[in-house]
Amino acid sequence: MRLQPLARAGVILALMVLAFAASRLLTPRVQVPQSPAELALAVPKQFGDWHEVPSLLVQASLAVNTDDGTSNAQPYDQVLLRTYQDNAGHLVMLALAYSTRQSQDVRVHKPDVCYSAQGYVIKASERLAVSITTHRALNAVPVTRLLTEKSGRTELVSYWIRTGNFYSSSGPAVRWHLFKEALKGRVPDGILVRASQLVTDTSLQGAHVDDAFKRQEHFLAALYQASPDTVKQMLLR
Amino acid sequence: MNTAEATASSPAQKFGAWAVVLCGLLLLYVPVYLGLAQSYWQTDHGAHGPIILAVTLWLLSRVKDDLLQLRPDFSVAGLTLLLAGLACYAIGRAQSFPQMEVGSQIPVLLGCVLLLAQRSAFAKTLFPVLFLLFLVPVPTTVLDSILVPLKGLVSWTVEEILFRAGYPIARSGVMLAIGPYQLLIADACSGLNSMVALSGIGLLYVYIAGHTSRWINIVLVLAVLPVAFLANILRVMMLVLVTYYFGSGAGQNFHDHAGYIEIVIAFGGFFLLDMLLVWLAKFLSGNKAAVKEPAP
Repeated sequence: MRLQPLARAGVILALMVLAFAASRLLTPRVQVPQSPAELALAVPKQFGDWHEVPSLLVQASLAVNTDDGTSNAQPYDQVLLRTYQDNAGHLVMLALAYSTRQSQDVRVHKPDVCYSAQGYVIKASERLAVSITTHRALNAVPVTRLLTEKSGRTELVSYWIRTGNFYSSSGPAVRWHLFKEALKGRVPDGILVRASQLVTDTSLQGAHVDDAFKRQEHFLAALYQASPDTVKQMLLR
Repeated sequence: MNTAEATASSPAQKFGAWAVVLCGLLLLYVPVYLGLAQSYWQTDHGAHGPIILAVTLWLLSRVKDDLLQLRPDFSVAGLTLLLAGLACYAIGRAQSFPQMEVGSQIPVLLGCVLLLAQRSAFAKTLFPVLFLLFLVPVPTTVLDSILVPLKGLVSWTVEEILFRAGYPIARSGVMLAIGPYQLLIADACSGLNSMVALSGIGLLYVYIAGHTSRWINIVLVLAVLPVAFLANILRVMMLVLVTYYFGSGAGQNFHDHAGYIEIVIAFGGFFLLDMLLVWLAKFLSGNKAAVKEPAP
């Protein structure tokens, strides 16, 4: 098919204008829950056996490259770091990192990556379904457990990452979910819910470690139950 | 096979056609570049962006005569590439997916070249357009997974070499202690940024030097990353030694002002390697049939 160059150029231009228009039309709007709560105010400081204590423990940072001041685009709108203690004296560190919009470019950081970047060695990692709430639809939340170590300090981490109503910490899976949501015109919010404990018992044998993990997961469940609805909506959806 | 591959078009047609396409390209990509300038180009690992763009434009200008010879027929491959590229653009832009947004330039440009210019132009624009890959932002997760091991490797290597040379140096993670001083191998020192920039320069060098001998080109391309890595090691070692002998003030000074030293070392090393290879080729072929070098 012969087409004069100028006409061909015209067709190319037309296609480009179409692509430009399409990119504008396909851009999703922000989806924000009715009114996201102020985590610092709304998350209960005391519930069940647990009460907040001043943070003497240093939590692993939520941002990744901060050692020379150049940090990755801080992807969080709200960050909450607290330490809680129960009546038996156990200390659990809580980290909540929430952002109103997740995109392909800026997403909640996986603790596996954050911890490694800060020099922790991840000795074990497993994923399991944990019951956080009795609500049927949200019953089994996929939680990732990490056993990490850094210069003698062993930290057990349990976390989940929620993107909209999708639970996964796998990069490609989350990206795919974001892609589908964006095609529907939606930008989901996202949160990292992380509980961790330092264990001084260096015999990393099954029972102790498993108990500790269960303890922090029960902590998260109790936290959820005790939170107001606005916070519940941010933790699980 | 047509004897006339190019249409006998008037200059007005040739320039006109490309001018029209250029308008489209500006419409699509000026917003993208403005976005990059406000974000990615401000970071350490993205700062080489404007240079890459300038180099690409320069490389393309070298082949403009070929681009201006237009083809008479329609290229289905060209249209396919263009459509694929435009789809990536639209999705990438809508989804805030910079890799797709910026990367779409490659199929879009190549598609335009195939659609408008004579067939021989495509091969000549391939390298310049692919050079744009250096502009595509690296996803942060990928970046993090490279930086940490790289920093570790750099610290380890510097410590090993200086220790064997008899210096009182020790290492803990990415912290080096020499004499009374402590130096932290930060992300900027991992050399990743310069390795990317140097890889670009190295590939550019290979392209421009235009050796006809394939294996010389292959060796040079493979040498790009190691040379860049070594140049970074040398820079970090020099920094450590300057601090050791002249104090942390001098070390800080060196650190702030000597970024270019690495580029000089790398480029110099690369140039030397090139000369060595050419000499070797001549030597091996017993000085007969010398390796022909086209003028750059």
